[in-house]
Amino acid sequence: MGQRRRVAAVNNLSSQHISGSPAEVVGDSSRKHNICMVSDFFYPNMGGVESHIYQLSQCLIEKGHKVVIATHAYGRRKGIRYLTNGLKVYYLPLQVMYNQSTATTCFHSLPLLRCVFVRERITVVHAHSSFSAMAHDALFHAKTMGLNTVFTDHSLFGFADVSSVLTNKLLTVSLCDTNHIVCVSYTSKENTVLRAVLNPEIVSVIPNAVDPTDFTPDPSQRPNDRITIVVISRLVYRKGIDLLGGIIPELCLKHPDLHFLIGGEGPKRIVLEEVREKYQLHDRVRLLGALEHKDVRGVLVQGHIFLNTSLTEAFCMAIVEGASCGLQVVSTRVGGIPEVLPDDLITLCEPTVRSLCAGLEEVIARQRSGSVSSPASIHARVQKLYTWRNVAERTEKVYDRVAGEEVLPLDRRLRRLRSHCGPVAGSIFAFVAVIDFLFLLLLQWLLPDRVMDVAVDATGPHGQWRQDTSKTRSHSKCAMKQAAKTEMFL
Amino acid sequence: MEDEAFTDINGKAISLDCQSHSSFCREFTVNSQKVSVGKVIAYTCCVWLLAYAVFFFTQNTAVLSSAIVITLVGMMLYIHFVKVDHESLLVIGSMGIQVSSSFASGRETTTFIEMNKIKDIVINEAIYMHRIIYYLCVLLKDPLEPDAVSSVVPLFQSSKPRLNCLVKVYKSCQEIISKCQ
Amino acid sequence: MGPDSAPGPAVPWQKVLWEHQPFPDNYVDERFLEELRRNVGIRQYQYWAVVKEAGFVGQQLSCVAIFITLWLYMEQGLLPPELLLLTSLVCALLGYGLHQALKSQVESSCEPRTYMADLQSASIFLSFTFGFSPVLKTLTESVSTDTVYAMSAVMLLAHLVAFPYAQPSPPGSLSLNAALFASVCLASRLPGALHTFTMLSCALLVFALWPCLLKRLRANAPRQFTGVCVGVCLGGVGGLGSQSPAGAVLLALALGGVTLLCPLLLVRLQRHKDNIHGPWDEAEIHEDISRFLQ
Repeated sequence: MGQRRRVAAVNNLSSQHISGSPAEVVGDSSRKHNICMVSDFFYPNMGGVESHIYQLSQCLIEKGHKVVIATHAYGRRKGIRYLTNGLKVYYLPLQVMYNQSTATTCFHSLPLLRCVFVRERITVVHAHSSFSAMAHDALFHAKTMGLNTVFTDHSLFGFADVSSVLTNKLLTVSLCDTNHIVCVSYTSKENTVLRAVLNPEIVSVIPNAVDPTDFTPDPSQRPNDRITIVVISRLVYRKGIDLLGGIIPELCLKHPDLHFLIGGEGPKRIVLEEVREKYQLHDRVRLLGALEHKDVRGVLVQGHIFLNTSLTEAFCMAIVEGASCGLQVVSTRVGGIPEVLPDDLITLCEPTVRSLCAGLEEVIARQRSGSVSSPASIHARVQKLYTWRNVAERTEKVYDRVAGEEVLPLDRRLRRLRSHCGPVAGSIFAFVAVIDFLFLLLLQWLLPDRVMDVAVDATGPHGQWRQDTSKTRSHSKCAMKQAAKTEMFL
Repeated sequence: MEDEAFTDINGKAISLDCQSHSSFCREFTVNSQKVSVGKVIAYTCCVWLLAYAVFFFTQNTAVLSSAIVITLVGMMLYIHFVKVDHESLLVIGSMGIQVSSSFASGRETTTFIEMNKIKDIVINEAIYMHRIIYYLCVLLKDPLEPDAVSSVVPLFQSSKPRLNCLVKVYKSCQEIISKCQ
Repeated sequence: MGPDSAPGPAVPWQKVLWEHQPFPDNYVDERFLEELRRNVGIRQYQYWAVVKEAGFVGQQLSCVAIFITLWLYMEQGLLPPELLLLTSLVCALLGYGLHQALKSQVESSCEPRTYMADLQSASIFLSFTFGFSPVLKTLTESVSTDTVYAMSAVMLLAHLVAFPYAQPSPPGSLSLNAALFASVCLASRLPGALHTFTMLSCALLVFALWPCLLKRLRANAPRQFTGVCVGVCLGGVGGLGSQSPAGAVLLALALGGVTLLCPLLLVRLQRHKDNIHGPWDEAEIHEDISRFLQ
């Protein structure tokens, strides 16, 4: 019967609309924003960006903002869904091209995104991940529609090869008139400022966070007769799995009581399997395969040492999760990793087998002599470092700043594009911007804004989902199911 | 009982007619705009001009006669199968819901859904033709699991009224359904 | 905290995330980008060293020219196939001797091929080519001559493009196949079956065996290698000049462009190189990890 309550809520809102002008509804939210998060990456896909968007949205909803998420359709999951606490997700039917990123023509996503932005009365568009074509499209269209934009960059890029030269140019164009950029570490900020030729003043550093209640230590799970090293990462080249393949035999030969617990899946699994085969380490090196997020803690608490061998990393949530579970962390000194944990919680090594082995041996020796701090004390320190509430507070300030900025009119936008992105790319994208603007005019003529129904807010200052949570949750399930059915229909 | 002016999702005026036969029986009729003479003339002119242009180059009179036939047949098919004049929803508490739509030619299709099959009537959102719209729909019960929804019947499919109209219909429907449950 | 908060007290900024520092999130310290490095480990090119390397490319270009010259002579009947066959045989034997001589200078870890094996593969190849040369002769008879010429030109170009110049190894399969395909096309326009056989053996000599010899030469006798390259280039221009002076001029221009002008451009444009490195770069694994698997 959830629907009935929801539509009863619709009634209240609509009567309110009829009595007061719609402008008033938007106007009185002095410091409350209507935020649209756009990214190709969202649940059911799993990863760092996905959980970042979800957790940030939940905390912003808690703070009274209205948040909706726009992503592309995942298989049969298309249409409109509600998640916990009335977080509305638009799964738009856009064609996926490569690696869950949508194909981009710069234009075809405009009608749907415009519909979302207009009916939800969006004031700030927040795009995530430079790998997501949809995020870049949304930034571009939002500027055409005169909305303020924020972009969060989650990854590091090099400058050396042709593909990065091209993607960096595209990023330059895309971020050229984005109001504010958020990076997850100082290294990431330096990287983004260089790649997109930005003024560093409009780039904020807001780290990722970890839910500390999900990652609590449990020393009783650790076997006492051995030392276990835990590795949890996708088994791909960029995570340095080749280095791991060198470390395992080196250390296992020296320390007969050393065990490895490796979670994750990927093309480099074969390297680890070969090593295990060659050195007959089947009982000491366990490959657990792909782990679900909820199982990660169960694996982490079985170990004494957490090892991260990444070759590049913007922030690295994994080491924070490891430390939060009370493990000693050993990691390569790459990207933003040195900024993440204080020196006494992490042992940093160069990305070579020898250096990593030396670092691990040192930690093993400390572990043997018992001179390491207890898991509980490590957890107590880590749990305060990175929280989603803190991230949301700082992101909120970015929105406050952005909301006051003016959006450049078309002529100044074009001038800026040409002066900022070089004569060739600048002119091309200025042309694209003009076409986009004309396309928007056409759409506005075909379907004026006043004809579009204003969406019923589930979250935010006029949120209708302020009932007790347990009911809301069942409600959301209902709504989702219902949406699943109806999308088949239309 | 007609009051405020409603429009459909494309901004065209429609009218909602609520008839209360008794406290358990209400009928809602959504009247779309009539076929406008101007539009018919415009389409006919287009087809005929095109046919004349083709005739000018081919000098084949069959083109002209076929254009006339096409316009006539097209108009017939349009008013018989496409153009819906009005859609009505008759809710009878304890009996069920009757959904009927009558076409411009006078043809009528009617469906009846028994009350014991109906789980609820709700307003939902969907992506439709590069836009996102609200629509009213009937949720049907799954005969095996009483809590699950087996399928969804959208209402007012061709007139597609906007949210304010849907809310009005929705409220009255809920009134009746809640009374008889 | 958030951007544009009031600046905090005079504590030094640290590039760390774990501490909540009294600076706004968008604070830019003077240490910003201090770890930026430009043009790390860049190679400074010496003009003549680059020219020497480019000579290898020019040499390969000339090889193609020499092959075409030989074909032109054969087509016009100026060169009897017997004579060319004999010369090829002598060259092959000389080259083989040189190849063996150069091998002895480096200690070879893997087991060397025996003379018997070499002889066996040579005889198999020769007998098969000889047997099939009437077939190859008529293979493209129904195809128009223009098409054959165009196809040969494209294939020879493909051979030049796909040739593995960087590590002087026996030519990669694509470039060798393209060259042999081109020679089969050209050979089918010659008057007799013996001509075809001669042309194919010659193609094998020029496109397959000669690069092998050059590889040895480059590894063991770099100075002579340069001399050989110059010699081949001159031979190519001279040979083509005897048949078509215009072609020789074009070839000379191309050789000059490849061996002199392109290196000049490379060295000159080095000045504009601006490579950025920093902590965001993906770390490279320098060690040989595969040693753990052997």
